[in-house]
Amino acid sequence: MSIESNVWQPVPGMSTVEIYAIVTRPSITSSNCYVLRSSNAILVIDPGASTHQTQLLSELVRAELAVKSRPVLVVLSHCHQDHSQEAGNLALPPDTEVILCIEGTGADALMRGDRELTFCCYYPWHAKICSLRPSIRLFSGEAVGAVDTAGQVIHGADTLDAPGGRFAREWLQLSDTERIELHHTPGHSDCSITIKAGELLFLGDVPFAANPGLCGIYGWNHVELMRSIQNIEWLFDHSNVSICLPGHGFAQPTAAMRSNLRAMVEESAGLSNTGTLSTERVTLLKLHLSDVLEEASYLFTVISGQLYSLSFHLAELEEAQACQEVLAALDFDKVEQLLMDFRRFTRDFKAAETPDLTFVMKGVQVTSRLLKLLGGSSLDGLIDVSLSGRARRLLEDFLAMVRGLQFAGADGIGEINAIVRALLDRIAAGRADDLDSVPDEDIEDPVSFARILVRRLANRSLLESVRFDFDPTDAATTAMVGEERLDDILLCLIEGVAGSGVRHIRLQTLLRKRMVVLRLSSPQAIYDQGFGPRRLALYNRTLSSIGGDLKYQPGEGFEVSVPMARATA
Amino acid sequence: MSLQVTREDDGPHIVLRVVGDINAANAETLETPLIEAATEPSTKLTIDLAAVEYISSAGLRLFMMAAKRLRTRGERLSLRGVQPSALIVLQMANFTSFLDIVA
Repeated sequence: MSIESNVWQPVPGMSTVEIYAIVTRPSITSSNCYVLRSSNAILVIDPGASTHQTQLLSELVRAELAVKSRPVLVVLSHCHQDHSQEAGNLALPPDTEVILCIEGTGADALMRGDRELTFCCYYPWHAKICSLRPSIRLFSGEAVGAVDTAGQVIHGADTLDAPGGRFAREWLQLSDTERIELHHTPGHSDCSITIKAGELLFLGDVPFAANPGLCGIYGWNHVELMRSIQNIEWLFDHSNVSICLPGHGFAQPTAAMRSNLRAMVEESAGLSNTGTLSTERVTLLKLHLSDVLEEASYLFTVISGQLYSLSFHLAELEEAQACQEVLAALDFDKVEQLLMDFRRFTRDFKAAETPDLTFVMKGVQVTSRLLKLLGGSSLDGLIDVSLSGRARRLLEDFLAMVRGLQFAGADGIGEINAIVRALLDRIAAGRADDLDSVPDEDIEDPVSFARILVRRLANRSLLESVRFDFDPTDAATTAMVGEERLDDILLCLIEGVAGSGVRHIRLQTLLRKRMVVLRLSSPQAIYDQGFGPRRLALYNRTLSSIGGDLKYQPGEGFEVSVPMARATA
Repeated sequence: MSLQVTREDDGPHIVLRVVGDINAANAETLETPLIEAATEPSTKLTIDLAAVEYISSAGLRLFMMAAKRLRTRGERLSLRGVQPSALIVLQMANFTSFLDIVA
């Protein structure tokens, strides 16, 4: 059983009610719309915000009213503009009774024109707020027992005893014998509700509430969201729900929706400290996203370059199978395609009037896919471990940042001298004589030997011929920076400097005004052209988020500053 | 081109002169004299590769085997006359950490 779009069909579990689903391409500018017809009322769930959709909807409802005049109940899953804007713009006969039903706080937000709670602030144009005055304020303890013009009670309320705590239920009467049930499911917004009609459950935006780019929006609440999901699952178990209809995208069988919601609970476990996704933060995210993908593009190019070079040498050495395995380690074409698509999207985005949040969400999509490709590939042992780790951390950082969290690892504590020493040891290890650690039987067996060869060829470092001096301060250098984060930045600087031909690098730590300073210099001149301003800006922004910074002194080199840990300071 | 290996003894110093490309199909021709020479007590072993244009992984495998044998008595394997293309791979795979490249 499924729900088709753009056709009337019976609502499963109801005897006289039918549904017409208008499902559009998912976007944050307009939602799906669902129309239910019964003998006593026409119900419109989320008219959306597209004038084209409104035209369709108006024609559909007018045709119904021509058959029989009835009240039109417009129920909003929540007050966001993409679901609600057009509620006041339906072109219906003048005597039509249109009753707008929305949760109480959502009704208040619409009435006072709250641009933040209605999501309007995220659009670059002056998005209009729904002009229709709410008639029924759901879940507000008011107007229960509201009557229509025919004097019929159309609204009632009670409470369910669900595990997520008090689970308020209200209902709207569609005919003498049939009604729809409404459940208060806040989290995505305070005013989010879930609507049950027969075996159908309309979830609004609850299924996407923890998506990066949506968590932290005005009105978002992680604790409430988790409770609501628990209650929705309870509904799955205790009432007959077979199909779930989201505010965006296609209908899903209950089992699929249940696993989606569970995955969401798991993924969003750490989101309780999410900050508000203010419009300023969206602008910052947009800037950061371009830099992150630029850097990711660079890292993936280096990774694929290393793999190609490795496969070339293996082929030259007549290790055809090992060569094939290396080439299969990462889906280069997919990575390339993803980055190309994003570049095209960026160009179109700049040319059109699109909400910044759309850009960020597209970025989230690309970033998540790149992460998945990286996770699914078996790059271990084929490339420098720090390279795939850096790409992974970079992408994870961005997703964490969209979710309003700290950079992953940026909030840790690290001992700067130890981090530098470990990095230099790692570089030196690549050059060491390790013949004794290779077992004889692995050399004698050609297949095992091929593996040894792959590992040895793969671990070749750009830094092999670079001489390093380290001059650490004697003072404690414990600082407010995650070990991996600083290692990534330092390695990026070292590689960039070495890549420009510098063969002698000096590292020095010192303390200055409650900051631990790591200086990278050389007897040779150090220039920053090889980095490009965006890469340095990206790392500077990462350090800024923890109160540090990255400075380039022309010719001299770089200085990374991070705040001392409290115990040290 | 078939592989030819000739052995020259100069006191305790053994030189294996190799002519032809070393690959999986002919590596055995080198394996026996190489492992024999590497196992002999108190020898210095050099492989002359001046007449070898190409070395496959099979050749690298033999070099590593010989280097390990020599290592047991504190000796290092020397490669002489290595062609530039083979030298790059030897350096990249860090073979130069346990064997000597000599002119």
